[in-house]
Amino acid sequence: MWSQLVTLWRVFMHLFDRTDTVEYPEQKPYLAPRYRGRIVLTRDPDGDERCVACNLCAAACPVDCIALQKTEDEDGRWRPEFFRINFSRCILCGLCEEACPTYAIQLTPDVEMAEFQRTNMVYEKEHLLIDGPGKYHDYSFYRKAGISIKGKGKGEADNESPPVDIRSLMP
Amino acid sequence: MANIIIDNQQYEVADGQNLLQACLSLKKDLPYFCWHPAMGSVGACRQCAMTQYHDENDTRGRLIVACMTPVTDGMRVSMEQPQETEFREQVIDALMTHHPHDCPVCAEGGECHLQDMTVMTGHYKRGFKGKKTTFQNQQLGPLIKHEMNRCITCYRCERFYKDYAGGTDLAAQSSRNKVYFGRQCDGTLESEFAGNLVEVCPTGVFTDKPFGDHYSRKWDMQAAPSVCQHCSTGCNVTLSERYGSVRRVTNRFNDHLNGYFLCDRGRFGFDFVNSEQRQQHISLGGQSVNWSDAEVQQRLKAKGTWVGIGSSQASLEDNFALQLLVGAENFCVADDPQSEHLLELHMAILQQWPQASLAQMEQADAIVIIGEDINNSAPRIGLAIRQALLNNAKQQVKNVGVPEWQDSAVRQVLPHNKVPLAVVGYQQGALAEQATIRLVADDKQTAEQAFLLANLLCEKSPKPRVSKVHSQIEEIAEVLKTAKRPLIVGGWSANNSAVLSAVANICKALANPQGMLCIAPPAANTVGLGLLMQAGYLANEAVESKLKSEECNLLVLDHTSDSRQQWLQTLSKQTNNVVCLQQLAQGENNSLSLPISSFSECSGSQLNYQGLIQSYSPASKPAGQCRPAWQWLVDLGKLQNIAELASVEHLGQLHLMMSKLFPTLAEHFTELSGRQFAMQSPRYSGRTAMLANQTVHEPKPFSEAGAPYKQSMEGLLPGQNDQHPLAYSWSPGWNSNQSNHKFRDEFRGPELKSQQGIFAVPNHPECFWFKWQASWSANTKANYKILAVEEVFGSDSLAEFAGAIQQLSKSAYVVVLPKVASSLNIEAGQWVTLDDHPTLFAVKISDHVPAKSILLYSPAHEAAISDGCDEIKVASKQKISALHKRQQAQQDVQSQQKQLHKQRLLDQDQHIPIQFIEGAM
Amino acid sequence: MLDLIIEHAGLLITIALMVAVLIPIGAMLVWFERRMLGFWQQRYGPNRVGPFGILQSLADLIKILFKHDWIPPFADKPVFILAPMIGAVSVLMSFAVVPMTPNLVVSDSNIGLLFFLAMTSLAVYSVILAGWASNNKYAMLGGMRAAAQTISYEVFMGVSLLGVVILSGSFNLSEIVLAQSELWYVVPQFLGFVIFMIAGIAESHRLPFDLPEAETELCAGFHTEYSGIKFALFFLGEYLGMMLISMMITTLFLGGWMGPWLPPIVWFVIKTLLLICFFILLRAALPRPRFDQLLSFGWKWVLPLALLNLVVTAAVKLWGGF
Repeated sequence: MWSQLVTLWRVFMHLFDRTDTVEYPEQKPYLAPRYRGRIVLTRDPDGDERCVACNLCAAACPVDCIALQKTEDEDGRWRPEFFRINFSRCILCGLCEEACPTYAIQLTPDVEMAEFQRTNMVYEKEHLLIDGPGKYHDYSFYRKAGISIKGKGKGEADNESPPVDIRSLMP
Repeated sequence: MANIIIDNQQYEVADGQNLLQACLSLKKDLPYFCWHPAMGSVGACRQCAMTQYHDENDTRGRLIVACMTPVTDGMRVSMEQPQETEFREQVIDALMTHHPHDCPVCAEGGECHLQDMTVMTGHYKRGFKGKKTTFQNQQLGPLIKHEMNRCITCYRCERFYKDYAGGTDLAAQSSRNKVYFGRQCDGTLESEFAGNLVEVCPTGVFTDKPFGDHYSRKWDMQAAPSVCQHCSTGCNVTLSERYGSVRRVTNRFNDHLNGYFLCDRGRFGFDFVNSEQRQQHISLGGQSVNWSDAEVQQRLKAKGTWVGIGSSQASLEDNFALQLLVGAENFCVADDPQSEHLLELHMAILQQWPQASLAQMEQADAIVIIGEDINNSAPRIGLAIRQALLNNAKQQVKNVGVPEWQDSAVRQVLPHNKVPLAVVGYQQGALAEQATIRLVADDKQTAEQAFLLANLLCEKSPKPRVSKVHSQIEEIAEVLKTAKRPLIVGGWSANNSAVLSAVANICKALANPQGMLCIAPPAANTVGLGLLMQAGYLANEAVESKLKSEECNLLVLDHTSDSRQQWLQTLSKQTNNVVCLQQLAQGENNSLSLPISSFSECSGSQLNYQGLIQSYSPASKPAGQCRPAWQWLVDLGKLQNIAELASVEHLGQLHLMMSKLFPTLAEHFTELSGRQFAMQSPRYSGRTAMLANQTVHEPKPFSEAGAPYKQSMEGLLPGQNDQHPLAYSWSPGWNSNQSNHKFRDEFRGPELKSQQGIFAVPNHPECFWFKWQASWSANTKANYKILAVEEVFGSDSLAEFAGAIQQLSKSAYVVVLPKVASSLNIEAGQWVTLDDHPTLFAVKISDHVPAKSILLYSPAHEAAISDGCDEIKVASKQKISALHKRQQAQQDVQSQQKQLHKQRLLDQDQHIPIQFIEGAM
Repeated sequence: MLDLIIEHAGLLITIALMVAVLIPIGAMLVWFERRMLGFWQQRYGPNRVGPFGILQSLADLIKILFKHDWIPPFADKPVFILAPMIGAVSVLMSFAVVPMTPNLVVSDSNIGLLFFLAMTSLAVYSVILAGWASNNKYAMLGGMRAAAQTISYEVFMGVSLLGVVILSGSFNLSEIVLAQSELWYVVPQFLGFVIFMIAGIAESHRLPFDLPEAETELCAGFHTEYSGIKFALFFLGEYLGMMLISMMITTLFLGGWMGPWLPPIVWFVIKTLLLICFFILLRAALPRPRFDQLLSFGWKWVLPLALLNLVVTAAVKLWGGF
């Protein structure tokens, strides 16, 4: 009984404490650059789409809200023909960013994305794609990967020797 | 059985296998690369290292390679000690030294054996700091994409392509870390089994090119167990679907039929289901109409007899529904009298002689092929026969105490221990070139000699009119007498009933209980039609007279062959009401055509060459107004008040009715019903986004009423029930198709388990001799007898609607004897015409052409030429240039179509037809 | 008829005034409670709609009016509709006997106290009928709990008041108030005060005794299936009930409208408001007991104490010579 009364007293005394509430729309809290908000697709340092449509983000997504289709362009790069995120399902968990092998998909500290229509929460590639490299400035997947694309032949990626001449008998 | 001790745990395993097979059959995770269950061991990659101990006191042991070590009773090994696990990790480390870091853009990614093994061994970081070796790729044609950087030199590709499939144009080149697997120069891979490289390669060196154009990861695809439609073998395949379109066909293991491999016609021919020519709307004389339109209704309700024409390309259910609708007495099963006769004969033989499965054929020790080009009519059977050719060599190495899975040992002794392969007939093809005994003869001579062969084996066997026995036939008789498990192969490709009769007679004359027979019918469900034929049918010749004599309507089940189209044109002159049920729009005429779903969009069953009933499940949903043919027929039954058919609401009821008529089928159909299997993998992605651009209200997954496979992630996973075919093959840690061993034994041991399944045609032990018929002796009067030959790509009319196959199809050619060529003054490669036939034929010259005959190949979509021709003329320059122009234009159209096709499919991905899904708009 | 109306015009105006004032105040209490809870939990509570969020209740009301007035197909329709009405009406009726000032009382009945007890007993029908008519297992459990709880606590609610009745010698609430002009009954009847307060909380299903609607266990208990205006009636009933209990405590134990300097109504309001604040504080601070604990507390502790209080009070009255 005594403890109940003490509780009552303690709770009552909170009346004279300062409130902890952050008055959100007027008072913006600081969100770190690595905060998990709206998802974007970034470009590599040369300005090309980083996304290679490998589908790992879609596989990692626990709510299955990412759908995309791979296509291969004339220049030999893989790209998504469409890349759709249904943000009305997205839980902003960031697993897609973890899964992305090319740093293409990144989460941004923008969390204000409420809509009146659920259809407006469905973002296509043109809505997701930004102009810059996002958080990772220097990485370019095709410079590392051994696949040849237009402007980069076999043996021209980082840490590769030129293609071997298989007809040569020299050691 | 042998008792072995692995990591201090005792197991009982089958004798005669190697340790790797034993471990995998025990469902252990032992990494490996170069070993393949169908190709034996060579010990090239050293990945499956284990430690063997002398006895329980031995603590050090020695490293062994599991795939090269036979299991012996009481052997002690360890798999999880640091010694061998570290060694295995080093092996992967070395293999990965030059791996190009491109998994995200690799079509193998997600079903890559190398990925699985790398994870399994725990390797995660490249140890070597030097530069990576790189290679230039080759253009290997429209089916296979080459990316040599990814190679780990396991030699599986060469061993499959050269040793297993007999290809000659792919091999290892160069040495050391420059070893290169490819052709001598760019060019299309010649073997019709090249597609298997995609599945054989443990990494992404060889990938599926048409699939790559419209790619999806394995985990994202909804997969359904299906059956190949492109020949009568009935290979088990898996169809994979994503965003409403079928993406690819992969092998589905069936130990008695296709095993681990498919032919390219089956692997790439499925694409006809995505063809632009797929009919999607009801059409009347080329105009889209609706079911409820007065004219359509009037046509469908028309008075008079309805004559139905069945199709060997349609399922058993569809044909059965048609038979019910029109009545057995109005149901015609064949396009011409000859094939009707062949079918009758085929069914008679099938009732007397069970047909060998492919696995059984692989055990043959003498093979006689009579008048059949098995390599082109049923390529997978050809591949099985090729494996039988190793049997003597295997026996030889066994005799000296080497296990038969020691592949290099077997290959070493092979040249001196050939299995006798006799080929009688005019057919060309790779097997004929390997024949140890070869008799070149036209179909009539083939039949005569085959009758004589039967007579040599058993004197009671009826004789033909001729009596001159060729020396080769005598040789064959000797071979057959001594052989333990002889295999006789025949078929329809000679289009001659005498040949079929002769094959049956040889079987009877052999009187060898171990003897095997294989007769290849032309289409996937030919035997199914034969089964329905037993309930009665309308003779082919009677159709036209019937149409003439009374008021008739024609109801036709779709068949894409040219002969069917021609026949229909003649028939349509006799009646003005033709209703076609077709999946591919062909020809413009006055018929009413109802669009039907392909095998990838509905359930159905078919009988393979053995009469084995196999069912396929839908991988995708039908688009447009397409529906399964039997559903259209049920609706027709309602219009025409056919009570029995009109009461059918779902496939199960149709199955029940079939079971009443053919009780043997009942067991198969009851097996189908019951539990539900998931067709989507647990990793299936994008479920809440793929339709979001159309609706955010995530509709309920589509499911066919009563179907055992569910188009969702719910239901049983693969392997949870052995009775049902796997929808897809996946097991934790085993994402590639090598996961197969988790569901069944890898080991197709010396004792082959008997074939499971229901054979629709019951075998009667009593059999009779087929007599030589006088009509078979008739000779053609033409100067040159025309003998039709087939090609893997080009002869199957259905596969011709698949872009990749179309690209590989050859244009028409004739093969003539050198002396004929010189007398006519024509050279190989020249263009000629036959009589006044409009087609131009390229000339080939060969010694293996019967006298007074020419071999002729014309693609399935060009009009066939009848028996003989009198004149071979060099084509005029105008005609040739016109042909070149046409070919050029065709090529342009093809490449243009390919682009359009790709674009259309990509567009379609974003507009998945959802009208069939419950709860959608 | 007309003469009747003219004759009782004053009364009718009072009733109309009471209803017109009480219902908005009841609604305002929702906002007030949420604000107070906020402060006690170091946050603001609803402060967006209007100044200090004062229009929050209005906004809620508008929202709730526009909600789909849905009756589950499996429910017992007439009873389902009736239940919330009984709740609100029975509470509103009780206000008739509460003297807010010497003049502001609808019915200065000489059985006012009994009328109050009767009305609170009726209120339980609302809950149990709602639980029954919803045809839902959570609602049913909630209804059963409410019945058991109300029946138990009603007993000593009545008993605890008898002390006051003995001291004042009247069931007329105005007279009870006037009887406290020298000493508020909270002093001689402190035990009665505490017991009545506990019983009052239990009767109005306020936290910590809100077991009939314990959302952690029963979704929302008896009103699980309710929505829209019917739900609003339950909600309103609860807050009116809280207000009623506060008023009754003020009247019975804290000298009603009496107090120096200020007008009587102000004193009445101040006292009531403080009690309401206390009720809210209880909600903010105390956890909910288990149902068996609630009942055994009632029967094993409160009832004997109430009887003791009654006996002692009676004895003192008889022999103490007050």
